[in-house]
Amino acid sequence: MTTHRYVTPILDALAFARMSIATDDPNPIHVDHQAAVRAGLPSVIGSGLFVMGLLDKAARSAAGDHAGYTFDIQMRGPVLPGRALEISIVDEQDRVAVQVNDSAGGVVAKGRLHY
Amino acid sequence: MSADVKTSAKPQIGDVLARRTFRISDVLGASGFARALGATEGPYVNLSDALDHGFTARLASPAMLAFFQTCAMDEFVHQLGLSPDHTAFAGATGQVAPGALLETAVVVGECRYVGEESKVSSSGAARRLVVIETTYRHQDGRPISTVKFTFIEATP
Repeated sequence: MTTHRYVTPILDALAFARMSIATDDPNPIHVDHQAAVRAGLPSVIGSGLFVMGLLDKAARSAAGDHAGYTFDIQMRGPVLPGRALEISIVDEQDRVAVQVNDSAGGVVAKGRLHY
Repeated sequence: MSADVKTSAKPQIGDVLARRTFRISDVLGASGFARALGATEGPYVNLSDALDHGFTARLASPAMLAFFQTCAMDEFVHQLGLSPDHTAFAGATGQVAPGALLETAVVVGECRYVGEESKVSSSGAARRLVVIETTYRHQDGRPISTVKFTFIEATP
């Protein structure tokens, strides 16, 4: 069994805004606290592309730079500010499990990867 | 950059919602994406590092290529009749083709409406699941990625 891990720095509202600008994401819940509260969220939340980006980074770490891969991942919780994200890829020969946790112990996403 | 957006108010399963051709660096920030994830150096961040690795430009993560860069968010929610304040990203399934992606690449994106399902949660609340598939290719047809994004709308 092989495990690959990658941990981000603490993600704050500035990191969320940086991601929104980098990806041309217009959704206000990532940058506007009031818009996030109106949507029923406690605060701004990070884009799902944090999870997608971590998945890509981890997949390439495990499979090699510029390797192709397939994936299936489900969101289990929001990307909240003030927390780091950790992705773990556990290669168990016939299947590769992926999980993204935040530094407060929350499960953000789970899924599978194949390369 | 060019766009071709379908304006039908009621798309059917399989319909193309939008197509768009654009140079990655005209729309996206490859370095900002990598920095948001914590990278501080390397070919995704620094041009000099990319050149040292033998590339002609910085690299771009294919994970940056989502649906909204091809199908504008307001078009997406308008065409599918979604309530943006009650709709969340629920997950994704897809494939990324091998090969380095440069931030100077011109890509062709196509966003297609591929599925919908109604469910009732364990608490009895109505849920609508919408699936769209976004495919990105190079201008010469080489694949970059195909991803199905699932959204869940919690009907008020």
